[in-house]
Amino acid sequence: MLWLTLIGLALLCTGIGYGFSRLSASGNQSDVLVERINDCLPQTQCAQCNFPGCRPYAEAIATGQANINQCPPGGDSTIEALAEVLGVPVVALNVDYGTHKEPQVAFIDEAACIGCTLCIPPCPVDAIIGSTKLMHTVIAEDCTGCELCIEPCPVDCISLVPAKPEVSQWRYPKPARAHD
Amino acid sequence: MIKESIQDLPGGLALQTPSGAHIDSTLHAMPLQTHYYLPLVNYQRDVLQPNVSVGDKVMGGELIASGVIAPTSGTITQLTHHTWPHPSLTKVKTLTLAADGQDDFLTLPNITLCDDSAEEKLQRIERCSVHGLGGAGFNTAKKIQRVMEHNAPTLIVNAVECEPGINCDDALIQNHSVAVIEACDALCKWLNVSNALLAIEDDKTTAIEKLTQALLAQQSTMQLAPLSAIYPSGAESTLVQRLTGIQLTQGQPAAKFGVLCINVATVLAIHQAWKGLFSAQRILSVTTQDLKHSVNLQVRFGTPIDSTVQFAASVNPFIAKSLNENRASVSVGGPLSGFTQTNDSTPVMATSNALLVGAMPIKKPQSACIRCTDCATVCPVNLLPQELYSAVSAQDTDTAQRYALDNCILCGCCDLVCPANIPLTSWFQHGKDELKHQRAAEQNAVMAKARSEKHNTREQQRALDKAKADAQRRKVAAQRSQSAIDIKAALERVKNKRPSS
Repeated sequence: MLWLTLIGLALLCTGIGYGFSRLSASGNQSDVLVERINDCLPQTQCAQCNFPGCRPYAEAIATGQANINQCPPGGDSTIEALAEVLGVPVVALNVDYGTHKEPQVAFIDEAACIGCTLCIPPCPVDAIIGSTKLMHTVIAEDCTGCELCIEPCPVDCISLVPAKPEVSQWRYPKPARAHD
Repeated sequence: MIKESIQDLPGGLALQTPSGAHIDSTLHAMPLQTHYYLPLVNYQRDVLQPNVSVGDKVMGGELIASGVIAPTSGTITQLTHHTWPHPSLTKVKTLTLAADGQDDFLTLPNITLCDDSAEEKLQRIERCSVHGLGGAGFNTAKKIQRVMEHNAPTLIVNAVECEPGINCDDALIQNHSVAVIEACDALCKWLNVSNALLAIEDDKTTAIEKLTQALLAQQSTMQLAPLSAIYPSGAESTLVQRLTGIQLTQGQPAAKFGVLCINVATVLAIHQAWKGLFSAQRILSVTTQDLKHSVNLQVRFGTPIDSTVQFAASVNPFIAKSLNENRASVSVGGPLSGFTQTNDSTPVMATSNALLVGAMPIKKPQSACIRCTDCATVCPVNLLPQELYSAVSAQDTDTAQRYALDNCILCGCCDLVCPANIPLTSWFQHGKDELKHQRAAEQNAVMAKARSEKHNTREQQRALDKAKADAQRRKVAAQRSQSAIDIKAALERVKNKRPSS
């Protein structure tokens, strides 16, 4: 009988301990959720969702202030991933925020660039290099195609070009199906 | 001398060569062409930068880009976008070399097995541009370097073709069996190989006979491993598993386990590189689409496919007949692994092991999957193609990965047995490429996230610093204005204290 009481007490203590540890962890749980949502986003940092970047958008989704269909660069696959994480139904992309485009990168017409440095701070991923009165250029591999550098340029020398479908990025096409 | 008790292939197909088939094992050397087209792209589809400019004169063997050598002497006349032998049928940057007819090659000194260091031997393999001649076109020096990390590795020389229509390795062995065994022995000695095997189908009787004679004459320690002629016995992962018991999953090279699995023509190319000969040509089978007639040609890399087919037609009247058929086309590779290429100046590369000429068999109409599981029975790597198909066609990459899409070797056996004529291999190829693309996108997102976090932290710090500096400035200004008020007040007091005059 004594043994049973002791075992019972031990179980109770473990239970209480576990409860406490859960309580203290719950403070970080929203962070974990934000992180999981953020991992579904394409990290373009384009702010087309009306939030200043992917993480702020993830925070807004986590607190219920934004819908999951506000990310044009992510498109349908991002919406599906978000729906799975949050356990909500898949919805269509809200075209008020933009349409899904093929991957693109910024391109600076180096001959027209006056070296004003205005495009450097808006770039969210530091993909533009250049200095005062010197030519600027975009590191194509690091560019996410967010378009945030276009507007500040006083001489309109930045344009977006399709991320070149180099032969190394070629994908085997989808075969035709019987009922297609 | 002959390895016994070899495991059976779990699936696969015994592909019959049609009765009355005639394979010409003589090696016909193609005459020097006027132009060679050298695509600036490697086996991993990376685009290469040229080392030469238009107008440059080059010698045979000169490195014109990383891993690409000039197949003869001449002048670089163009740098254009040109088709290359790849299912994408895309164009890549290509150098055109106009041959000067002299066919002068650079001379390299002999490398001897005992005197020269391992580095020199490896460098020579790299310098002579030796690439896998089996079909994948892997960089041989890199492969060997990986194996060298292991003591006493296993050597598997792969002479298994199994696909009807491809018989270039058979032709090579029939013509150069002694040189092949010499090359294998040299490689064994250099790498201190513990167990050396030469895998070949048991129905290549002439080649086996010649190899046995050469092995006896050379007193070689190589073992012959005759395999039943079941396709795809020549695929690296299945071959390694059957001969060594090591199970490779896709993406794991055999070299990681100390096994050097290397094509027989590549072994010969390594030996020739040490003798100062460049790897600028290969043996290529040209076969009629009905697989009844086949010739073997010695072709330099960069030779246009149309000239190659023309030459084959001049050697064999049946190939000429096939070429004039209605709807005749040319495909690169065997009937299962190949892809259709137009008959034009697309060049032959290290990976082009065969050309099929003639009218393509008409595609049978597709219907829905009836889940008969015939595909699972023939799958040589024990996958469930019917499950993979439903996952890949529904774009469900997670499920596809659970059914080990990565392990599919794209052999095409499931296509051949599917009663619904579903192009399963094309689906798996598509799925693999999509998966690769998705992984790359995820990788890019991780990088972008890290860069953006750094950017934000830096910008926040800058804003904080600015606010701090501003506050400091305001404080100083306030202090200054306070002291000005104080002075004014003091002056005022002094003024008031003085008796007014």
